[in-house]
Amino acid sequence: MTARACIFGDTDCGRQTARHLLDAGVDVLLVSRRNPAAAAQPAALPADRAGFELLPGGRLGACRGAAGAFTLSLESGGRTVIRTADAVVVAESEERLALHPAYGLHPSPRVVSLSAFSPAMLSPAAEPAEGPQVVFLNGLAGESHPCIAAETLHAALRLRNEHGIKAAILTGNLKVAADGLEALSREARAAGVLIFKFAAARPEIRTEADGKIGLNFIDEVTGDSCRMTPQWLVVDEQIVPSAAARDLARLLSIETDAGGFVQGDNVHRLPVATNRRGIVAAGASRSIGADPAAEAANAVLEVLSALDPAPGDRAAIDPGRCIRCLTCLRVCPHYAVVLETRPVVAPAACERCGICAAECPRGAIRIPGLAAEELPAERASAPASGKNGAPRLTAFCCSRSAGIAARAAGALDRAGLSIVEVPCAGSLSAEMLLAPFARGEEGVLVMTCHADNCHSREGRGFAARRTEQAAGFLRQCGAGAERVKLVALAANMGREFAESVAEFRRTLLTLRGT
Amino acid sequence: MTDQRVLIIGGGIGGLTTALALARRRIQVDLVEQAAAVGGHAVRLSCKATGSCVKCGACLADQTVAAAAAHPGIRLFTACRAAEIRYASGRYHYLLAQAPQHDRPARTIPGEAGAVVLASGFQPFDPSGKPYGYGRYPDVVTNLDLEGMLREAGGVRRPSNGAAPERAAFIQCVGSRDASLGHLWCSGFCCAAALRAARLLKHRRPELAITLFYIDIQTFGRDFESVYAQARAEIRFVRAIPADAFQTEEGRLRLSWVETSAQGSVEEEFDLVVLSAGMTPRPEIAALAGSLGLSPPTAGFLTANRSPGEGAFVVGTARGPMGIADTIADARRTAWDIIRFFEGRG
Ligand SMILES: Cc1cc2nc3c(=O)[nH]c(=O)nc-3n(C[C@H](O)[C@H](O)[C@H](O)COP(=O)(O)OP(=O)(O)OC[C@H]3O[C@@H](n4cnc5c(N)ncnc54)[C@H](O)[C@@H]3O)c2cc1C
Ligand code: SF4
Ligand code: SF4
Ligand code: SF4
Ligand code: SF4
Repeated sequence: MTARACIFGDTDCGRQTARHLLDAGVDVLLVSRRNPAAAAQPAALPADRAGFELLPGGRLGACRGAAGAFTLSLESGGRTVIRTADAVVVAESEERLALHPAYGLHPSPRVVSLSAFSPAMLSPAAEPAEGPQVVFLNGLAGESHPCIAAETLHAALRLRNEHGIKAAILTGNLKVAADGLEALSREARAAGVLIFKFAAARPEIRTEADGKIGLNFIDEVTGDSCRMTPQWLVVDEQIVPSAAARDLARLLSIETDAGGFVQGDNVHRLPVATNRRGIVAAGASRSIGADPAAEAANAVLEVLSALDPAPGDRAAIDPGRCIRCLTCLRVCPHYAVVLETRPVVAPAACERCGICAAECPRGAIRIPGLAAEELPAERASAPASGKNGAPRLTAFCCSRSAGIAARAAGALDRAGLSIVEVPCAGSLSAEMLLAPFARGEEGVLVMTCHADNCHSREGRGFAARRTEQAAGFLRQCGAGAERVKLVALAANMGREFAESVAEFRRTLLTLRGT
Repeated sequence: MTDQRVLIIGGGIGGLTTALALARRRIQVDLVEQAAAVGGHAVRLSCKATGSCVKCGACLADQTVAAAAAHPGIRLFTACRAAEIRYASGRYHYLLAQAPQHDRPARTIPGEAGAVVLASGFQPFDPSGKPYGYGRYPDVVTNLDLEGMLREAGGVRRPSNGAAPERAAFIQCVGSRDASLGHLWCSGFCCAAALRAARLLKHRRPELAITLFYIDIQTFGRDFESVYAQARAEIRFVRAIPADAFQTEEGRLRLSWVETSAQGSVEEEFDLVVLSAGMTPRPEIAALAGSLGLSPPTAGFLTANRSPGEGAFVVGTARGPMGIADTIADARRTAWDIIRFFEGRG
């Protein structure tokens, strides 16, 4: 059966993604918020292609299931349509928020927002104004963005070059960190566009009795006070995720960042992944100013990898042991546990973090290769002996962070040290942390990624809790809670890995004396 | 498609990410890296987490190196260069020349590929020619030197005497946004790198006073407003670029700058100066592009990302300044372009 991807967003990025997926032999359902009458020019859509379906005026009502078998309940024109899909792409547009209120301004024919402004709307000035006739505000009510800076610079330059109109830009930080913008800002200045920058102070903006705008400020370069009374004031805008993108994030249980953009603020999701395998965030719904073609290409690769056959080593629930407490459903950060008549793991969605297995009260979840005795371990070669011999200890390492750091830890003294890698530190149960002590070892390190860097969001948090539990147990039996310790390390902290081990060894040696 | 092979020149995050994306779609990759190890500039960067991750992306490079090294579809040739690349009837015929390595003598490896990716990266601006005394005054260092200290030594000391600095200055835009050099670009990464590094130093030693000289602070990350607000509470921002640096008899560094012309020139002493050196094109980029039939660089970088109709592609900072996240997205995009090219779709 042909796989199908459902794309939300009748955007340039969404349409390009659709076309490439069709080329790759994947069926596509494109959910467009536009109603049929207002739909994009048919030419823009791959409408003539077999395997393509357009749902105009559509939106997501609910989503069930996981990668490889999503069931989408879609609303379109007052009816509910049910479709299945193997993967989902969120490729909605962004929205622009006019910043008038932030400047204490009200929209009027002379106080317009950046995207509403066009040089064509300027009737030749009735009374020739002194100073600039058009003033642009940029990044003075919140930090701007290169997209906005580019539009502002282009507009001011066009006014100057094509209409002979004097323009000024009053700006906070001028955001030139994009292709060609530094050169453009120089071109604008050279053409006579005035650019005034503000560090901490802000211009005073007043709407005067005759409806005219007055701007008063100190030029921070010369220290002179300035006054401008332009005919038009152009107010910058903030780029925010569309309401549709936010709704999708909520309905699909995918992370968002502080600004509401889909995908979440976690470097492991880059470029277009989300916390759920099989759900991809692309284009303006995940970031500002992304190139639609590049985003579409990234989205296609991500969808294709989610459609690859799931490896055989994913979590599986033993129905004989499961008591349907639904703990696994609650804790899975990747929403890979789905509820049929009983909870089951969708292999295509499982990231093999092991959090469910460690949390299941019945030990009902098995993950091939992740049982304590199967873990790939670099065992200590020379068991230490004697009163001052190196203590034997185990370092459990998240394979994404500390495990990589361990391999790069040049100065590491490996005497007595066993290194055990796990896909995520969240897979470590308190029993696993205590097992080395039963073998006569003296200490256990739990080495995770930094907070906010966990691929499985909460893996580090689970590891911290279990370390506490193990420490509590050791305290109770008088062995010393210090014998188990949590350390956060990034993959590039090889030196810190070696230092943490050395320091822990010293702790263990002191504990011997007590 | 299984017999397709791609040659990648340059093993930074751009080249490695392209290699992995291709290999995962079952395309064979030969990757040549001139240095003794892969990873490029990003594996020289330190983790800037202050209690929690600050999303600099540096650790992704170390993860990518580990993944690429473990992938059976990728052959990594380090200390190696493409001695010869010939394009004939739709194929690139190449000869790789590998310098002797500890476990084997020098060798040459012939090969053939349907596409070539130029991922040779950038060259950090060398500030020796700027009047900040870099190379002469030991306590004037670059941002990359600072990263090296954090990564290799675990902390920042004044190179002159090993003491902890009390007053540090960061100077932004060194070698970028500089018309006198003809560098009409913003390097994009260095505001982020400086703010993150400065906040880390401050987090470790709150008594360290930091001044950051800048033209404009560029937006970065997904939480810029709040990061910037916190940085402003911890660091003194001065919107001016010092003209020069002098070392005093006590071995301190005197910077002078003009904030407003009304106020005139101001002077202060610091004991560590970090130059935020930007990105410049690699010197041999034009020659490499020429040998692959790519259009010549504009403003130093290769802005076009492929040769029309042929199989030569460009990835990452060889195309212009970009950070790690954008380099990764660019690399995967190129991998997909190559797959389509092999399928005869463009
Ligand atoms: C001080 C500093 C701090 C930074 N901080 C951050 C940060 O916090 N966040 C962020 O996102 N980015 C940061 N960056 C930017 C980041 O380093 C780059 O985005 C990234 O390294 C670009 O990767 P690349 O693969 O394009 O190039 P490079 O890293 O330059 O890799 C290119 C590789 O190609 C090899 N090569 C070149 N020519 C040849 C040839 N002819 N044959 C064979 N091999 C060749 C080189 O040896 C090198 O290994 C920082 C950069 C610096 C200098
Ligand atoms: S946590 Fe264990 S017992 Fe509870 S529902 Fe899941 S598999 Fe069943
Ligand atoms: S292993 Fe992780 S991703 Fe897989 S089902 Fe369990 S909790 Fe979810
Ligand atoms: S992204 Fe940067 S700050 Fe975060 S863990 Fe990785 S290296 Fe550290
Ligand atoms: S990122 Fe900042 S320091 Fe770097 S060139 Fe741009 S403005 Fe200057």
